Amino acid sequence: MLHRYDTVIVGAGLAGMRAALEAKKGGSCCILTKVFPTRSHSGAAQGGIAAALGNAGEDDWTLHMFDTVKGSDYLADQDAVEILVREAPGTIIELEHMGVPFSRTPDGRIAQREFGGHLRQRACYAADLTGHVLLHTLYEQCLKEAVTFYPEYHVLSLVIAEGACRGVVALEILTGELHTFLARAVVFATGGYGRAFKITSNAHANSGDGLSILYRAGLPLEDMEFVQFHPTGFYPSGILVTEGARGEGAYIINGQGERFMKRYAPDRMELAPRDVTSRAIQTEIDQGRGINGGAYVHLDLRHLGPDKIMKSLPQILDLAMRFTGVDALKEPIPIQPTAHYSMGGIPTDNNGRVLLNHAGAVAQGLYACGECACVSVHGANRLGCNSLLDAVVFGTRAGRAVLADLPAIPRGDAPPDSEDAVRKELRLLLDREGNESLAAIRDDLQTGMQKNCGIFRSDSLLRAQLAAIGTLRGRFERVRLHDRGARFNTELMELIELRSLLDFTELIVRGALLRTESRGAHSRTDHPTRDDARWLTHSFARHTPEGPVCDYAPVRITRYEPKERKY
Amino acid sequence: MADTLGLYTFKIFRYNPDKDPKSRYDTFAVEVRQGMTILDCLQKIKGSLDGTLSFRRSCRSAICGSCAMNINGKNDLACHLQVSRLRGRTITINPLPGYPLIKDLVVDMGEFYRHIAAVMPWLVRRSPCPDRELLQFPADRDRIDSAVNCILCGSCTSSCPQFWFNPRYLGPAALLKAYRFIFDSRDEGRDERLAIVDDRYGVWRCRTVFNCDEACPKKLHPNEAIAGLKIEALKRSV
Amino acid sequence: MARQTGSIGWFLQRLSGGLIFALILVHFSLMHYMGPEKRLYADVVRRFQNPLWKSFDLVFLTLCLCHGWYGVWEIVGDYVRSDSLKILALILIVIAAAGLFSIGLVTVLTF
Ligand SMILES: Cc1cc2nc3c(=O)[nH]c(=O)nc-3n(C[C@H](O)[C@H](O)[C@H](O)COP(=O)(O)OP(=O)(O)OC[C@H]3O[C@@H](n4cnc5c(N)ncnc54)[C@H](O)[C@@H]3O)c2cc1C
Ligand code: FES
Repeated sequence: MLHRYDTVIVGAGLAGMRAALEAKKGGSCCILTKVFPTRSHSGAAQGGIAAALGNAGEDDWTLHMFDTVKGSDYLADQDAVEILVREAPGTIIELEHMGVPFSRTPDGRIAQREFGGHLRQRACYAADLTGHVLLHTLYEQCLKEAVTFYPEYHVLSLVIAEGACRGVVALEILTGELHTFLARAVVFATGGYGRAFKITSNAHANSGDGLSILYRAGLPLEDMEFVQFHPTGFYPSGILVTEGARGEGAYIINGQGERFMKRYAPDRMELAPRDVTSRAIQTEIDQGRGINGGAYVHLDLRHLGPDKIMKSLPQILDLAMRFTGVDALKEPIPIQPTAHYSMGGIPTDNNGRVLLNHAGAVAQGLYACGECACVSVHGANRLGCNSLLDAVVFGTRAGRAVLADLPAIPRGDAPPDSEDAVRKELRLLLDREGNESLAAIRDDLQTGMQKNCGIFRSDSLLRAQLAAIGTLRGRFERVRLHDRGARFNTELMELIELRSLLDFTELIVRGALLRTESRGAHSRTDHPTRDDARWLTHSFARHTPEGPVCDYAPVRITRYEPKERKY
Repeated sequence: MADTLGLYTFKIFRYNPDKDPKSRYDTFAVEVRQGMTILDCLQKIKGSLDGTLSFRRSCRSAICGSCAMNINGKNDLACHLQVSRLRGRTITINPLPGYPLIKDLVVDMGEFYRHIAAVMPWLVRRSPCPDRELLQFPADRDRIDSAVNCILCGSCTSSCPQFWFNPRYLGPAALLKAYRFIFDSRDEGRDERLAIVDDRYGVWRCRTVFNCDEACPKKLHPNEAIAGLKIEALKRSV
Repeated sequence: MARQTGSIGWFLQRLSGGLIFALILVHFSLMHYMGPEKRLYADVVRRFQNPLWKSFDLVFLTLCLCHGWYGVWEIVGDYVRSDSLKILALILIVIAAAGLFSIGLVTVLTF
């Protein structure tokens, strides 16, 4: 079936919906999403969204910028960071005017709390449900503006004609039918890919589909080796305990009852950036100082007192009870680092336009924003609360870029065979005979990535993982599905998602193998120091018939020269 | 933490209208370990026993609202319910009642979403906004706290006998949403929104059965909200 | 009321419910806890000579029947889908209501 819109947006998280609110002003616009909009993973964000509002002590955008650049281990592009932090206060006010129910100070202003890596109290929050209230508010705004949604449409590939992107092909999950959406502008906002790892804070839907779709279409992906591990996931599930818990004052304690962060970040203690804290926890665990020697440490809230916990961290209290059986008012919570955020992704300019190559050429009619994009404002390590901000600020900018560009983009026609290739591929996946199980391959991939490409990496581990991915690809070709029907075939969805995992995990491992230094979240035991002379660069992985290759582009430095990073 | 809880029997509602003349229950035996949730078990069944088993899930941390289903007779989120909390060794799982069936545990929630959209679920402002945030005092913010936390999982509306018989009835979730805005101190669209809920198929269809409060997996109180709305609506008519 | 929202019906149900509750208290104490140990036919007749008590019982009767019938009608509205069945139910309710009311009326007036 054929649909025509001026703008098609893929993904209904914060980034996608924010972009839609802008793009809607310039013509017809629809959002395709594989889960119902309010089920997007933006809703899981707990802690907060950063902006130098100055509601809790002096703050201004230059301080926010410095914290962000330092947090990124100097890999962020500073002109982009400047845009992010300068637009932050206005963005928060705009969100508040849309109706976001932020928590308040006694005099009625937006409350702000501390967060890892931020030296001021600049996390605006709504208890520990910040993402939830933002996501619902943006969905409600989209209802108000009558944005058209196609919920439970799984986008599979781009429509390309005469070298330009003309739209996307999507599968309607309910019926199994293919739909072609022709558009003059296509915006990708498909979110993160935590599902590449065994222990993750991410949703099942976070399988990095957008990355894989663009990579398959021949576009490069930037800085894929940088994967953030959040210090505090519940043990054993990996479900997140917000950094807001530490922002409120929680301690991290090892098996010997020691607040060990004093050995790793004496000034910031528990509120050091995530890469530092995760490495510290992992080191304690690896050296046998986990609780009872196990693979976890404790997060202790008790000294905060029941009132504060119930007021500021109600969700954590409930989740701790449900997922670890611990009453956080009375006992410490068992935690471990958990795969959380993808700093890398689809390279874009500062207005969300997708880059064709490392030299900075721009693709016509193709945009990306949110976690799937890499502007790059997070560099080698994102600070907490900066990614909701990134999704909204650059979602808005991508939407505005669409508005600006639309008049110049011609209305193309669909190549008559736009759906044929996809249909053939799906048939192949559905009809395949073999003896491999989808769940087993996925599990092996996630376990391997966790072990070999996790917090600590090395040449030998990474090589082993590269080989493992090769083997898994072979096994993927022999997966036999149980469900061969058209109606709501979630097994087929999972298979397609596994295919994207296999696509981009190779890029993560390849990028990590090539980058012989330690920077931010990328930590090589065989190259433990940062090497600015050689590696102050962004990597751009692109597809070639011989496998992925990486090109490199310099980091844009405007205000803050790289310095040693200490907390 | 790897202690096993032993073998459990899952009795799961199955129906694929494309293939099955009528619905049935399939039973699966699952080895359950300490800490496993209902969703973990469903994933395990799907991964290793029957890939055709269909259900929605995403966040697996009780915030996206995808995985609501009827477990041992009670609507709940599969992802936050530990198997160890249930009594007995047989667990019966049905789709959420009251919505049209799509396949197995997947139901059509279109009507539910349309009801949400029908209550003007957005902040209405007539007077211009200041440059800074609109002020709201903590006490005012607290008033909408529980309504704001709703994840639209559909458990409450699915448990309401009024909704089963009158799908036109807005239902507790949509009314809770209306409450969230009507009682938001910043909102200026109170009258229009009240006009929507002050209707035969709005608040007046609620017979205070209290199923919704009991069904809510997030322990919210749609019924209290409806009571508040009734008073406001009444003030409007008299 | 231009628009039938159900609010007035709801309100009247609460109101009549409250009143009935008060009247029931009076009725109960009167019939079961006050007055002579053994109530005789003559006692009741005597009480009904008083027009105040007559009107008390008339109000009680009317409120109870209205409350009950409206309640039944609401239940029909909630659970009966077909229009013809609804009309049938309405007729039955009205007949029953009228019948019960006449019996009550006759009893109270002719005592
Ligand atoms: C547990 C958790 C807590 C977090 N807490 C914070 C925090 O406190 N502060 C902060 O700043 N950041 C936080 N983050 C990070 C932040 O939430 C995310 O980076 C951000 O929400 C991403 O938004 P998004 O719009 O890019 O993507 P998402 O919200 O993930 O949305 C992706 C959308 O794309 C759609 N999609 C994906 N693939 C397809 C496809 N193939 N076809 C169709 N649609 C598709 C999905 O349906 C979905 O609608 C947290 C993240 C997690 C996991
Ligand atoms: S999977 Fe999101 S609520 Fe259960």
